[in-house]
Amino acid sequence: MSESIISLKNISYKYDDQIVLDDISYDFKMGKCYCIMGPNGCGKSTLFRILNGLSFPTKGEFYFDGKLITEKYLKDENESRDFHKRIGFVFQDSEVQLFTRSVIDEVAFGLYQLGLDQKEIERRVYYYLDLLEIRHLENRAPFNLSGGEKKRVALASVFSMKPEVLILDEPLAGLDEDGQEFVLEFLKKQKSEDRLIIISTHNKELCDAVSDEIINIGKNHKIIS
Amino acid sequence: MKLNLTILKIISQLLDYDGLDKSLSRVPLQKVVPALRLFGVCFIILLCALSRNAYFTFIIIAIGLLHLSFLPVKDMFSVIRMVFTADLFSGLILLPSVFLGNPGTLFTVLMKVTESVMLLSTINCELEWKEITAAFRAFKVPSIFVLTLDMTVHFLVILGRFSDRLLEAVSLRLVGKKDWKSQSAGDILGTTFLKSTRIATKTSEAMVCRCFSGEYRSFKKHRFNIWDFLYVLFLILVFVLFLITRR
Repeated sequence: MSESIISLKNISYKYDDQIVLDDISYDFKMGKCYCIMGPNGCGKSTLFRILNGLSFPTKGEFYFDGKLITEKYLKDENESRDFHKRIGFVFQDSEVQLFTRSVIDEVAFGLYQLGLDQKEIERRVYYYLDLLEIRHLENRAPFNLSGGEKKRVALASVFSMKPEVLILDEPLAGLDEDGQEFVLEFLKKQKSEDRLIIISTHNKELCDAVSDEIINIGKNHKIIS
Repeated sequence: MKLNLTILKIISQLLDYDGLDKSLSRVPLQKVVPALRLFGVCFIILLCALSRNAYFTFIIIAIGLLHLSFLPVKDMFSVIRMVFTADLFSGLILLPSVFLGNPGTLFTVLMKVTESVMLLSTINCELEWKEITAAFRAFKVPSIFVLTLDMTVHFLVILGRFSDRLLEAVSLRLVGKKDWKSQSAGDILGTTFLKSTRIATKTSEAMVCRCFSGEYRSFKKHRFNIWDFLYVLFLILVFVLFLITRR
């Protein structure tokens, strides 16, 4: 049995006295794919923000690879960089995630941050552009693409960084049937032993197709199964 | 409504030709690396400003007009309109100098305005905004500044579309009411502002998630080609001409 890379211990999150997450405990293991389901407003997006170090629990502890992740810990630039290098996050709204002048620059952006050499960057950029079938869009401005194309660019820009943990917030939201099928097949292929995937979704088909475990969060903001 | 039309016009200009490979249809001068062209235009404008000989400015205007004749009619009109507008304003401002006995000043300034506006408008028509912002990096402009410019364009498009949708929604709900503008303009601006704040926060988080460390580079590198070489040669000739006409 593989070790858990992410461990949540009695996590709670409050926003203006309103409970968003209540006493969540869970261990996420490498090589597995988890689907998080639950009604709107149950706290899935907040949980993802915590997992990505964008918000911090008001109570409880979040461990990543044995290290306690706190606001103070991530204030250290090197620690923050190492943490984000290992976790990739695909936002629900791809539009806010894409901000460079062209699709090819968007895919290369994260790779430049990692300090890779130009040859490796070129190899990865073209590999993921081909894999997501968006090479013909390489010179287009991201804001000028359709919803499905934006999602593919967002996936390419995050997957090209090869993070160990991949977190996807509603990856099928707003996509047409073909787009959903494409992303579904892509995610199936991306499952591997050395990668943890966590997906938030309302789509049962996606859950059945890719997940090893399903986590249900109820309206009471607790894990119910 | 007028404000939104203006926004949509700007957006349509930004999106014009986006993604089309213009390299095949370009005239030779357009195949020159954008950074070099930007430098060239600034260099020629500087020489014209320093020149005290009308012949030099005349020759530059003639070359500019010759180049303009290779552009599509739409671009030609756009450049000519800009030049006429700039000349009209400059002429009106400088008109008193004619009555005060310095008609030469009006002539000299109008020539230089024509030349500067024509060169800048032409480059504006020929290059995409992406190429211009990318060219700034060659002038050692900090990458964070270039990224800010690119993101400004990005947000302008997103928020322009958003405010347009809001305006449509308001128009549909206020059928027949004529004084809706004063009532709804503030609401639309306020909602757009809130949306912009939300997007800005999300985008900065997305940058953090992708380990942003201030590095912002263009993936595609321009290889020095024969047209770049010829353009440098042309700039040298312009400089020689400047020296000759200065005597």
